[in-house]
Amino acid sequence: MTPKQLVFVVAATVGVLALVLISIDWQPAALQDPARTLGVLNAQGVIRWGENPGRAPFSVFELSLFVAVGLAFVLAGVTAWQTRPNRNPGLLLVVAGLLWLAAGVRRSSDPVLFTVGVGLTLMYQPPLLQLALSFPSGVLRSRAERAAVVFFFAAWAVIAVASWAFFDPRLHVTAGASTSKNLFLLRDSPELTSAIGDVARILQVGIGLAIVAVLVARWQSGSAAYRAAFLPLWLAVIIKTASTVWVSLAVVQLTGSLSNEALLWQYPATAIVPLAVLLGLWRYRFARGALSELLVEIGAAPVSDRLIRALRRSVRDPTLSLWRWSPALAGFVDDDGVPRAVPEDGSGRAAMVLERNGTPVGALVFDEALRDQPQLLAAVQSATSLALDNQNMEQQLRDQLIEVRRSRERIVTAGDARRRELERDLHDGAQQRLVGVSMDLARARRAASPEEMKVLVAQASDELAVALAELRELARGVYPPSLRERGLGGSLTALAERSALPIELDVDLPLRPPPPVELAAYFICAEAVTNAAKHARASNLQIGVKGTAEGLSLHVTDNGIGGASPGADGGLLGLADRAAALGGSLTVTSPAGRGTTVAATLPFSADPTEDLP
Amino acid sequence: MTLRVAIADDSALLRRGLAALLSSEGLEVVCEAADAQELLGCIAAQQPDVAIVDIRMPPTFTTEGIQAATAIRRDQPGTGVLLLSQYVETENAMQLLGNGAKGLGYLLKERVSDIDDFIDALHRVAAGGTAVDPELVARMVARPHNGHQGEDELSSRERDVLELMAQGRTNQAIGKSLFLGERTVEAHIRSIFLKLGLRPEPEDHRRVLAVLTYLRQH
Repeated sequence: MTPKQLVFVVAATVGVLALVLISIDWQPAALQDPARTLGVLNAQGVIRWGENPGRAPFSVFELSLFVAVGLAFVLAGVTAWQTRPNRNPGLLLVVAGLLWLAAGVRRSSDPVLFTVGVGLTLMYQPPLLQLALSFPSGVLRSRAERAAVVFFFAAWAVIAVASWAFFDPRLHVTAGASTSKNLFLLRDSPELTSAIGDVARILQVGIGLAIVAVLVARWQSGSAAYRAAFLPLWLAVIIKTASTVWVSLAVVQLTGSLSNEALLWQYPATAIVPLAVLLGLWRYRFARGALSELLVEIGAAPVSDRLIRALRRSVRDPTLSLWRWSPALAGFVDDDGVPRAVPEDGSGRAAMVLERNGTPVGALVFDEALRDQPQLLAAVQSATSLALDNQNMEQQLRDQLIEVRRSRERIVTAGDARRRELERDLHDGAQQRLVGVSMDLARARRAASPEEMKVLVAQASDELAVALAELRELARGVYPPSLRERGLGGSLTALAERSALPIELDVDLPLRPPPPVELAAYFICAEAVTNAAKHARASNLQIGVKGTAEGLSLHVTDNGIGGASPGADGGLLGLADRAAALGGSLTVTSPAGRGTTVAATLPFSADPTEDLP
Repeated sequence: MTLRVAIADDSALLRRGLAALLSSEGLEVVCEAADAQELLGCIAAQQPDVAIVDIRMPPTFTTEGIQAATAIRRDQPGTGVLLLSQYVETENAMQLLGNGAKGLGYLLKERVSDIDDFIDALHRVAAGGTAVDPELVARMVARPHNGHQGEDELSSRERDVLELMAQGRTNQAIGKSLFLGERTVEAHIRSIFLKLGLRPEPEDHRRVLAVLTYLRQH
């Protein structure tokens, strides 16, 4: 509700109220005039009421009740208008309230005001009928409903005019007198008035029953959400109807003070209607209160049955459910994994799709009646999104943790494998050769001739040379000595010199990288070179290393057969882990037939908190 | 009498080197096998006096030699087995010798370069005696042991005798090695068995096992 609308409603209310208060004729005769009795519509009622000598005069107390009812309508209307996004229910309440108040001019001695007041006496009812029919949204759904509402307004207006067209109250009051001049009057005819009254009563009772029937049908087929929302109004309708029947009967049947009291009961009975709306609002607020508890409660909890139950409780819709988005099916699935389509308009169900970065993550499916409460739904949506976020984040964290554990395991396994390999290489290589050398030398010591000794010593010397070469290679595999002495550029030059393949080397390193980065870069290049020589059938290799202040990037490209993957050979996977441990990354691009490129980026200072969700 | 020897080692280099060494020392090398299966076939055919077996052989390169030794001692009691290894481990020694040390030896590979000692060990094993690597024995003797057992009461000379005894040496060899008379050696050995609370064993290979078991358990 805009401030302008609020000002307008307040101004209209004050204006109508002022008009009513000014127009009331406080002369004793006017106060006694049964034609001016508020809330009693038709001529028959006026006649009956006029026959009752015990009827009480209009009082300030009755005026207070009358004004209170009107203000209750307006206030409830304004509240509903402000709280609900759809202004219709509030607007209808305000209109009903203003019409109710305006009918107060019936207490005027001015013929025009009296006649207008008589005409407006029951005109507050059609807006309420419209409200009941369109509840809870306030929007009429079908052409039939719209036609019915137009008919209600027209019928009530026609009945009001027709009831008074042939009735002059001044001629028919037996106890006391009426001074009210009826401008609707064509000619006075008690028979015609009586007939019109009967027809009007039948018509109004029929309409009332029809509306009750429609509402009962809706109640039965409606969801729990509809019932929860409608319950207060339902009770109000029953009480109001009962009170109207009772007041009508009382005015006709009862006498004296009893009938006076019965007449006064119409005011609280009518006031129940806007109060029922306020009750509905209270239930709505309660639901929102429960929801904010829910927001606290789900804090770190995953999307569980508990959350769904809490959501159902909050919106009073036990049919509410959360469907998850299945990327595999490109559709929603329910709790049982059954694919579901988002419900269409008019199916009685409505869905709200929860999206993250434009990708659906789930859908809340609920009773269509809840559409009327977008604020509530928005709160539910954010609660659910929060829960889904939590779940996704937890999943992401779990995935990362699993990957870290795996990579840690791979690094340890690779280290163990390397140690086993080293032991094996030493055992089968240098150690065996040294035993051989010692045997040769032992034999040489006992050689029968100097010639034989020379042969044995020469043999031992050769073995020793081979053993030394093997040990050197092994040591280089453990840690390339040139790396410490000459840095990455020097050790890559040494690598290129020893390689069986021609290697073009392009190293541009303005700063010397930290030792772990140098070692990782060296091993990545060495492994890539080994793979290229072993598997790629390459004839040419290019190594490029480019450093900045923050880190280095390198690539090793061969012109071989391609088709390599980091998983196929444990070496590259281990190096990818090593790069990841330094906060860098390693990629292998190897299209079949078009060579292999191993590329890596290695930051100089790894930030362990980077990339965390 | 010429000792007939079978050699099993997956390293051709060592096989050839060993065969050349043994031949030049006048021993007869009847087969050179690259794995246990080949060795067993050769032993069944040639019935050599002793087999020199590398502990680590195909297919798993772990302790194939021990299984081969057990099979040889079971099926060919006339053939002694001398196991060679780059490392000597107590567990391996006990697995090899635990069910009887008769005709079995376990030496570091590099012992071959001490030719006299090595040939002596070969002869000992071929004759049903035992050869245990000095390093292994020294380690077992020097190892800190539980409680205040008899071993603490041994004199340093008795310790020397104990080590040589555990290596499988005869009393005569011990005496020669320590420059002692044979009777003195016997006295030392009686004293050692008494202090360790062991029953005296008449045969060399039995007392090796008794001493090794004692050393391992205390």
